[in-house]
Amino acid sequence: MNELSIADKWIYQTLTSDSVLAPLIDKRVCSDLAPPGTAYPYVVAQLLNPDDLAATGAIRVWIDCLFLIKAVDETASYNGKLKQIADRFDVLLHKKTADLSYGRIVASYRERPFRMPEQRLDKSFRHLGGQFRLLVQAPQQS
Amino acid sequence: MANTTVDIEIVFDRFPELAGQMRQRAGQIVRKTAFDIKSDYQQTARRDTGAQVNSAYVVTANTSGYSQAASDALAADPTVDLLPPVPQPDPYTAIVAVGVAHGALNEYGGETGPDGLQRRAGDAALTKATEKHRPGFLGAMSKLLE
Repeated sequence: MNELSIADKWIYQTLTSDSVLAPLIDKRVCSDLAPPGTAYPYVVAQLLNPDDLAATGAIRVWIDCLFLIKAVDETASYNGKLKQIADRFDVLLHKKTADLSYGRIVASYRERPFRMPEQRLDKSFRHLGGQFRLLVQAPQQS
Repeated sequence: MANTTVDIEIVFDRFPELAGQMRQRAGQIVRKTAFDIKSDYQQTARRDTGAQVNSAYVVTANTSGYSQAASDALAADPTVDLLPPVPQPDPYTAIVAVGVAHGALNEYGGETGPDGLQRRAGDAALTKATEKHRPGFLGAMSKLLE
């Protein structure tokens, strides 16, 4: 079982089913890299580091994965839509657990905030969000 | 129920000495971990011209690898944009820094990429190197208290 897909799916479903985010990003939540032509603003969930937590006998307890979840917009400001989106990350993803039909989010919490400016010629971009740690289990095997 | 009292008299007060040794050892652990992270980063990070990996450096309270890293980065790519050096921290902190301006784009992804042409995913090489050394760092620090 690749638990990373459980994490991807939960992040996507959580962010795309929120009524506050819907008018801001529609369904524009991407894993690792937004496809060419994706409209701004959008959200990208980049896997920074995955680890297995194993007990004696190679029993996998969960996977421990660190995600950078950020909103990206073509703007010179961290306020406005970008802030509204990033604020929702805290509401939806921080200090959360979830029992799902396809797995279990044992914990999701923000470890640190994140922001990054980007400037190229006459274009300005801003990235705003946080690094979230997710502990994820596959469904129990019968 | 009878109460028992114990009087403790400190004849040889070695607490200050032990505390000093712990502080010294803690600083050593922090610095070793920082140099290990930098070394791992330089082996795994994206390498185009080599300027980015050459520009990685460690700053401690007493030392800075910035000058050497900047020189090595410019040797790999004389046109590369370098950031200013990071300030020196307290004795119990060490900073692993990447000197080239496009380092953050390669780490976290960007809209324009270092070449300015296209959206690029991050490789998170510095984060991965840091996470790799987290257990060893915490273990070494825990042993200080045993």
